[in-house]
Amino acid sequence: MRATVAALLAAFCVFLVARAIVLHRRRQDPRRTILETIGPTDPELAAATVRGLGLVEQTTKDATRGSPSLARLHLARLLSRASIERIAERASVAARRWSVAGLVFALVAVFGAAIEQRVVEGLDVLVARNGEAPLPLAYLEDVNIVAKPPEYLHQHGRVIDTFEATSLPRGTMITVHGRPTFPSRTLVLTDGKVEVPFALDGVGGVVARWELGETATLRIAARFGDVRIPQADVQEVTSIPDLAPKVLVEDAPRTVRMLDEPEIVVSYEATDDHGLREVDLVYRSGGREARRVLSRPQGDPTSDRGSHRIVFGGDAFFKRNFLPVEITVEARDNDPIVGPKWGKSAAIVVVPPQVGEPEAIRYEALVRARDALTDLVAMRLVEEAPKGTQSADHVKKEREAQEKALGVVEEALAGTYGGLRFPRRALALARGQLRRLEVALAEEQKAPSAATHQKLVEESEAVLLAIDAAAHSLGTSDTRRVAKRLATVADEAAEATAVAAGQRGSETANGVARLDAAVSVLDGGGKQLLRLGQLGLDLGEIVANGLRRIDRARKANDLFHAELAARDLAARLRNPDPSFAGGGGSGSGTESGAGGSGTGDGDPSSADDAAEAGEQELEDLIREHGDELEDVEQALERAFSQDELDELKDEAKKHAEAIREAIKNLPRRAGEPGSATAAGKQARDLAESMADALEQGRPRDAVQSGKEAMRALEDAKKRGASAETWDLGEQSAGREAERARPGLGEELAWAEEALEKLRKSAAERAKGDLEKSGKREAQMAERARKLGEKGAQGDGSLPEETLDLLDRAEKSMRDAERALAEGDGEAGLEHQQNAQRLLEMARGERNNEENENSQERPESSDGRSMAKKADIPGKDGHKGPDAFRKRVLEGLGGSSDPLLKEAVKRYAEGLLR
Amino acid sequence: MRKVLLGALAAATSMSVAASSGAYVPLLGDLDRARRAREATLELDVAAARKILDGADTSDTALALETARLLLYEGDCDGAVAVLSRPDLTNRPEAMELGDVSRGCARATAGTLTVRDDERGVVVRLQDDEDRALVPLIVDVALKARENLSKDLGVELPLPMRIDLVRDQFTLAAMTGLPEEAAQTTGTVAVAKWGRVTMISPRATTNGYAWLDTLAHELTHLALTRGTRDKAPLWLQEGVAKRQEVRWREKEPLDDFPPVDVVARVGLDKGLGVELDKIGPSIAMLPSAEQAQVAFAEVASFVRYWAREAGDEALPQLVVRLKAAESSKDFEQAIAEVSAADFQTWVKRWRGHITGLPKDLPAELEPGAMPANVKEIARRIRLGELLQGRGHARAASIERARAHALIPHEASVRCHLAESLLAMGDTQNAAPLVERIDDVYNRFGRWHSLNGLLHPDPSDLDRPFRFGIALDPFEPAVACEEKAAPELPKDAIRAAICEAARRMPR
Repeated sequence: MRATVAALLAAFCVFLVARAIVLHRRRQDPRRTILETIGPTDPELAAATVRGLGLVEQTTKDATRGSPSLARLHLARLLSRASIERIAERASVAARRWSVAGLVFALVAVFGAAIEQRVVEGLDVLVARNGEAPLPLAYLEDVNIVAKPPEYLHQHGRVIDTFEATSLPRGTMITVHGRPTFPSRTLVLTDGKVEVPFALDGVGGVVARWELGETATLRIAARFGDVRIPQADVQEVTSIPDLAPKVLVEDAPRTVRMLDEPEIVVSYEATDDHGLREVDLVYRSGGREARRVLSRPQGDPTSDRGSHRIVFGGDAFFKRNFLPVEITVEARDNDPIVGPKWGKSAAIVVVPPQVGEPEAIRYEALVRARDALTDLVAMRLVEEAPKGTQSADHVKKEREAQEKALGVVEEALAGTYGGLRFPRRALALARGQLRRLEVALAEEQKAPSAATHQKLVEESEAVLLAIDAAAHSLGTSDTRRVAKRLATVADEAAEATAVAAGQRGSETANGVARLDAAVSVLDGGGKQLLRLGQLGLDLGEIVANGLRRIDRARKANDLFHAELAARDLAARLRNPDPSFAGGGGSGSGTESGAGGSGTGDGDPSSADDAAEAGEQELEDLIREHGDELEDVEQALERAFSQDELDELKDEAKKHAEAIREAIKNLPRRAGEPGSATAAGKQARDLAESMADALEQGRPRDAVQSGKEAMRALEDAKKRGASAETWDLGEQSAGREAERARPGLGEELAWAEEALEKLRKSAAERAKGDLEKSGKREAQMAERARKLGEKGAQGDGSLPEETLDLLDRAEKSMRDAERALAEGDGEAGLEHQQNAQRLLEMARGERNNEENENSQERPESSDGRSMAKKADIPGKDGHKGPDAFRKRVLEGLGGSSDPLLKEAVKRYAEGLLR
Repeated sequence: MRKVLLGALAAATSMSVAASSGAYVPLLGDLDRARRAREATLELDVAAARKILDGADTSDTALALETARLLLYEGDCDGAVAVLSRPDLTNRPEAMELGDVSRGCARATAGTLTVRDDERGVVVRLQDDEDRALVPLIVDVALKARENLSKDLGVELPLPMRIDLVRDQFTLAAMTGLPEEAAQTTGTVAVAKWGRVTMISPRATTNGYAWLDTLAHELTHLALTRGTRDKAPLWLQEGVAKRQEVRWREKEPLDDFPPVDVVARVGLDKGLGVELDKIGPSIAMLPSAEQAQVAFAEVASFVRYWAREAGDEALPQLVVRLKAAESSKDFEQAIAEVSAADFQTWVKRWRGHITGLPKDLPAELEPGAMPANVKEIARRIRLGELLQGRGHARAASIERARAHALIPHEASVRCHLAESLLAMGDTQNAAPLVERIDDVYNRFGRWHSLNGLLHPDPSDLDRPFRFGIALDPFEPAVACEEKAAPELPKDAIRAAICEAARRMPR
């Protein structure tokens, strides 16, 4: 239809053009112009004028026909005879006729439009360009617009001023409602690119919903096939984007050297325009990334702040990482529209120490301590023995020199080196040796003489050698550990070389970068090895040579051999033995036995061995004493007659119910720590535990729990009484605790009485076992005494504190021995527990490094030893729960006072049952 | 052609046996050609072996194995690994050791420095390029030892001679197949196998070792292997090598100290000895360093006795006859032919000889003996070292003098004391400590350099320094002829060694 109309229009246009051409051509013809202008008013004059025109033309061409001037004069005179007025009058008549015709046509058109919109629309569509009609028409009236921001912004919807420019959050749902001007039009809401159809709202109106993305100009339009006729009104909407969170970290950006700052505090503040969902701490190093959630804010707050302490030595990511680490805090917003966005803080770059650097610094600190002692020994060796009146000066000089040396040693021992401290054994050894030195000096001070001076020199020499042995031992063990770490780096270098050689795919550039990084780490680590004593020198030189080999092959573009050289280095470092060993005494000097004369084969000091042996003996004693303690516990349990226990159980059921009845109104949920509710809840749990223990025939546990429950009730009562007047919950918890006390107290009294009865009868039965345990306890007390004795002097000297703890442990063991011999199992057990705590304290706490070392499996490079040494547990061998229990008890028993430790332990035992 | 068929027949027969028993399947291929190639390789005649193997059928497993062996002997460890990676050789028992050694060698020598003296025919592969200063001495000694071996054994080592200087026992084990534990037990520093000498750099040991004598010792093993086609019994190998290890140079007073005859006798009396023909696969694999020491003394004493009694020509003759020997019976016959008595008779005679010798060995030199106050000596030595290290020369000299008093013949203790005394400016008391070699029981590099400093011999000023470097080339005081940095020895080679010693981290 639209094509037909277009064709007709085209034909019309063609007609108009043709007409214009014809008219134009007519105007070019003067005779026709004369006849049509003058002819209608004066035909004769018109004919004469035409002839005159012909005469002008003829004379112009042929002068023989006459004078051209005369002919033109004749024509001019003819034209001047024409009446202008008559001609104008006739033209006016013609114009009027045409005007009337036009008016009639216009009236007809207006009439048509008035009676049929479709005609206008048709015409509008007819002249549309690019699918858009030029003439806007009104399609919707009574328009109202409601904007509802996205849910995550938690904002209410609002009516906006219709067709007034506005700004709205991205994702806002814009609802346009109105009444259509003409029915059966397909109405749409459009920004010129995308359109959303209007739908009937069921009450005569239409509605369209537009989700705001980018800034848009919205129009209402009617769609006619490919053409859209817009309504004149426009709604300008500016989209407000949801910005990524901003994260500020205090003092960032900055660079931190782990050796200078073994721990840092990362304080951050994250803000977002709408809401935060998560704040992460992010570590990036090389190709690795690790994220730790710092915060998951609830309720989409627009800001979150906090601090996080990073102890590099205790963080797994840093422990096995040898490259710089970039630390950032990154926050995620709650934007569901374009997806959550992460904001990232400026970075804190943590430069880790080179592999082995902390160990090297620690070793050098010990060497400094050794040097200080060497200087002391040198002074004493050349110093004259005290004589007569000079003795006081001599002793003073000795004292000053010793204090100076010991100051250096103490400073070294107390230090932290890139997060490392000295191992327990080295500390015990060194402090024991210092005590030895103090004793010797005190002797000389007491009685200055050649003999006491000589003794002081000898003791000083022994102490020097002991510290030297400790340094040697530490250097060797650290070298081995560092070498094994470097072996993994050498493996990485080999693997990276393979990648660079194209053996693992196409990422050769990545391989080169990895190889460079690994080489740099190896280089640094090799240099640190050189600082770690004899074995370190040996292996450090090997690392340097290995790197030269890799480099030589790389320079020759021989990555195959570079990889092999790296693998060779890795294999060597995994086997961190000295380059040469063996040979013993006077060797042959040829293919074997290059060991020299054997004079250096003896250990100059047995201090390190003595310390190791002492540590092992103490470990054994702790373990065996722990077993003995368990034996006594079991003996006491076994001693209860089964019949009596069964009888007790039957009776205990009633009492258990009574307990539960007594506590039924105590709080079921723990409140704030330190509140009456919390104490009430604790009392409830403990009383439940008491009831359970009674039902299960464990009267001792029942009594224990009962006593603790009573204490908790007392606590709850006090807290309730002191609660604020408005805090009815706390007051109520206090009152309930008070109400529960009499009932529970009664049951506790009954349980204590029952337990006493059982004890009396059990004591006789357990006497044999307890006596035996008492004898074994005596033997162990003797071992503790000998340990102390060994540690009191010589190379195995122990620190004063350790000796004191051993002494106290021995005394407790003697008390336990006596109690057990008398058949008083409970008292014996208590003394045993005390002794056990004291022994464990004498052993000292392992530092992180030692814990890690103890967790490392002694495994050969091929991993076979694990398979060989894996014991299959026996039927009673599942120790997991026991081990867990023990760990919890040890963890909670961290109090320095052994008696407090015991209380904490008992509490923890109650919790774990 | 006939041999190929025979080989195939043998293979087919063994395959049928294997198929029926499910047991070992022998190698397939031209076995005779493989045997000839192997013999040529073992004789170090790599040119002949190459000729035999040229154009070998690539599918021939036996020839492939021999190709790998030849490549290893030629020093091409990568090539040997490539051949031994063939599926038909991967799990062959015959290829196991060869494969392990080839792989170890390829890994240990990757990216290393090779110094070739093509003119003189010595190739030295250095695992640590910092050892390059030693190469001129290595080349020199190798050629001198070769000349001696040609004269004494009638065996000419083919050129180029291949010497690998490795950094540690770990690599020594990887490159030779000697278990590392065995090397560590006996203190092995060198092995002659696979057509080359593999020895540990003197930088690996605390006070160096007699590395040049060791080189001569190991070259003797190669010569005997070549001369006898690897059929020389271990006692002969080690006995002759001990004899030859010092013949490349002028004699030294301590060359036979403690006397091997007496050590052997005492060792046998103490029950540390082993039957000469029952030493096992290697002295280096004996259970202890003491037993290794006695075993070395036994074989050295026996060979010296036998060579002296049987005459100069006996040894070269024995080598020639052993080459053709097929069994121990042939060996007995060969020894009887060249020396008019069988092996057991010679052993009896030798035992009689050493039993008649005086047992005047100082107690501390007896095999397995340790000085009486070893712990106290170690304490004094260490204290002296610590004190000297901190510059307390006087205090150090007190401790070192105590150590010297406890063990007066120990060369190292004398040197330490002399060092402290020199630091105190007490040359007068330092000089006697390093004056007479007869005063000490053992060789120690520093003793020689201090001797050269304090007792220069106008007839040959360099002699003590040469001795010192032959023992401990990476001790700066020894290598630099007791000169303080930056002064260097005049001799260019020793100057280079001095610089290398000073570069070594300490």
